Amino acid sequence: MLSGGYLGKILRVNLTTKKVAVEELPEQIARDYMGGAGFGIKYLFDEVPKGIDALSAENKLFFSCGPLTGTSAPCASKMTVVAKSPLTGAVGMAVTGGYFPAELKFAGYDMLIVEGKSEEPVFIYVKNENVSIRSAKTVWGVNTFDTQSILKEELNDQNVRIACIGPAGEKLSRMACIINEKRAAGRKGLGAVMGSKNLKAIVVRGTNDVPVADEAAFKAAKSTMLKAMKESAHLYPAFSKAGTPMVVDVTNAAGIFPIKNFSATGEKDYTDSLGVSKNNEAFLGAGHCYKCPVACSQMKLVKKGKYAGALSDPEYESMYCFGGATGVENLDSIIYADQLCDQLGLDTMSTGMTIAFAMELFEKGILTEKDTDGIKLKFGNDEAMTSMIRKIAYREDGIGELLADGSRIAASKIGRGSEKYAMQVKGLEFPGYDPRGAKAHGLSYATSYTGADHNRGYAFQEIFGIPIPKAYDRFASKGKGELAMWNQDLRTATTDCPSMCGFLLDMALPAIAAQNTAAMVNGATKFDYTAEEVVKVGERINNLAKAFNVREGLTRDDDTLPERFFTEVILDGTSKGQSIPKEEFTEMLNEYYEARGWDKNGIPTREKLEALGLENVISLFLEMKLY
Amino acid sequence: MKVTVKSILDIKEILGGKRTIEIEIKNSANVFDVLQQLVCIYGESFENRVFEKDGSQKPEIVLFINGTTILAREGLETRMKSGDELLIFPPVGGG
Ligand code: SF4
Repeated sequence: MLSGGYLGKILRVNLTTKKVAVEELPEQIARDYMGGAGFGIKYLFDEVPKGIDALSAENKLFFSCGPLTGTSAPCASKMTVVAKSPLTGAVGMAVTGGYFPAELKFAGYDMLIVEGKSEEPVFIYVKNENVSIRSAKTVWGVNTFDTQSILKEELNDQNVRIACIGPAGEKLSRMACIINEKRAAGRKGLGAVMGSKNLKAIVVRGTNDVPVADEAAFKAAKSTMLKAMKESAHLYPAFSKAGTPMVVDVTNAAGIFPIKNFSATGEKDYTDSLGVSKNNEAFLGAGHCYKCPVACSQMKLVKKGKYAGALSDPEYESMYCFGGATGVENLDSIIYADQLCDQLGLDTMSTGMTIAFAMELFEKGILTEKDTDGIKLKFGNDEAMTSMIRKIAYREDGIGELLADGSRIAASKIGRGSEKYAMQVKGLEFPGYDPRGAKAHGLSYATSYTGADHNRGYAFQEIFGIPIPKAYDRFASKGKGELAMWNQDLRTATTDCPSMCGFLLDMALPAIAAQNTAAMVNGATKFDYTAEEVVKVGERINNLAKAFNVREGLTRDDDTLPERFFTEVILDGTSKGQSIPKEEFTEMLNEYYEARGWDKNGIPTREKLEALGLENVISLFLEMKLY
Repeated sequence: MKVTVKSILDIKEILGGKRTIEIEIKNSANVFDVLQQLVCIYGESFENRVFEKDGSQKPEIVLFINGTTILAREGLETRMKSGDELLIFPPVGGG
C-alpha cells in the first residue's frame, strides 16, 4: 500500500462527458515509474490511441507530480505535463515549477488527467475533493497574467493556483505553452492541446498536507541533501544571485553561443550585451519556486527607453533565442519579448528560433518584405523581432499565420530550400548550445524522445566542465553515445520523476544524484530503491517513450540533426573549426543505440524490454512486425 | 612563448577586468606553470580563488585548453604550446 509521498489518487476529468472521477494510483506503477514524467508517459502510452491528431479530442493531458512534490524536500517544486505533442507528433512533455504543482498535491492528487473536448471555453476548478467544470467566457481571449487575476477575483480566493493558456493556445499555435504564475510548461505545444479542448485554465486550491512515510529517514535524507547544496560552490553564491543568465558568459567563452540561427556561432562575443553584468543592471528582485532555498529566478525591469516598463525574468534560453540567435544585442528587447511570450502563452525558445529562422530566410532573399508585412526582418533588428511575437500568437494573416506553428511547418509551406534553415529536431526548435562544440549534448538533441531538448540529457560535462562520471573532451565524438544515454537516464530518474529541479543535478548534486533521489523518495514513500534502481526507472521511461514514438511512425531518420551541423564548420571563436561530419554522427548514433541495447534502426531489443519489464511494448512490436 | 589567458565572471575581474590577456611563459610550461605565473602577477586574490590552502587546485575551478577540459588530458601537467588559449572559469550551472 502507498503510505506517503504519494496520495494514491488520480483525478480524471472528461470535458466531453463532463464526468469527473477519482481513481487509485496502482502501487506497481508508482514503483516502476516513480512519478512526474514517468506517470505521464506510462499513461500516455497506455491510453492515447495510435495515430491520433494531437489537437483532437482523443489526445489527453497528464499533469503529473512526483512523490516529493508538495513535501518539504528542497526544490521538489516541479510537475510534468505530458500529451502527444502537436509540434513534433512524438511524446510531448514539459516541466514547470512555481507553486501550482505543490497545490495539486495539497488538493489530494498525484496526477490530473484531462480528456475529451468541451464545446465551450471552460476551466476546471479543483478545491480538494470538489471538482467542477466552469465557463471560461470571461477569460477567453485574455492574456495569461490577467486570466490568473480575473479568475482569483471571480472565485474570491487569492490563494488558488492557476495553470492557463494565453491567446496563442486558444489559436492553437503549435508553439503555445501553459503558464502557471510566471512559470511555464513551455515546450512542445502543450498549450495548443489545452486550447484544442477549449480548456482555458485549471484552478487548484488544496488544504491538505502531503504525508511522508518514514519521517526519520526523510529528515535524514533531507539534511544530507541540504548540506550538499549548501556546500556546493556551483549554487552559492553565484547561481543563486545571477540565475541562468550566467550561462551566457560561459557559452560565449566556449564559442558555443549560437548566433544568427547557428550560421555565425563564434562570430562575436555577446557577454557585454547579454551577460551577467548587463543583466544585473536591470535586476529588480529574486523569486523562487515552492520550498526552494536557491531562488534563481531573476526579475528584471526595463527602466528607460522604448521598452521601458517591461518586466520579466528571462532565463539563459531567452538570452539565446531572442538574443544571439536573432543577432539582437538589446537586452531590454529580450526582457520585453520574454514578458510578451509569457503573457500571450508562447514558448520563448521555439518562438525565438522560429523568428531567427525567418530572419535567415529574409537575409537570403527567400522571404521578402512582401511576406513579412513590410517588416525588415534582418538579423539584429530588435523591433522586427518583438513585432513578430504578437503576430504569431494571434496568427495574424501573413507572416503571423506562416510562423505560428514553428519552423518545420513554416519551412514546409515556404519550400524553396528553406527546410535546411529550420533548426529543429523532430519539429522542436533548438536550445542555446551549438552541438558542434558539445557533441554528447548534440547527440541528446538528436535522440531525445521530445526532439531538440536540452533538458532531457544536459551534458554538463561538456558545457560546464564538470567531470562526473568522468571528464570528457567536448569536441570528441567517441564515448558520447554512452554519455548521452547516461545523462538522459539520470536526468529523467533524478529530476523529471521525483519532480525536483533539474538545476540541482547539473550543478550541485551530479555526483550523488541517484543516491540522493533514492534516499529522498525512500524516506517519503517507504520504497526501497537503490541508486541503480533509480537510474533503471529513467532507462525504463526513455525506452517506453521511444516505443511511443516508434508506434507513431518515427524512425532512425528522425534521430538526426539539421544539415548545417554536418556540413558547416564553426567559423570563429573557441570552437572554431568544429562540425559533426555525417560519418562521425552516424558512428555516434550507432554507439548510442548499442549502449541502449537497441538495434541498428533504434528499435529497443526484446532482451532490453524484458529486462525493463516492458512486456506491453514487446506485444506492440510483435503486432507491428518489428520482431 | 606567448599564451592567451581567457577568463569570465569574477575571475575576469581578478585578472584585471579584461576578457583575454597574453602572458609570456617559458617554452616547456604546463598549465600549472601558467597558473603560478598568474599568481605572481595578480597575487593573493587569484591564488585564493584558484587554489586551496594546501596548494591543490580547487576542483570547481574549470580549466579548458583550446576549448577542452584539461581533465580529459593531463590535468595541470598538460603542456602548453605557443599561441594556446587557457580558459579559466568559476563554477557555473543552470541553463
Ligand atoms: S533553483 Fe530556480 S528553477 Fe529550480 S526550484 Fe529553485 S527557483 Fe525554481
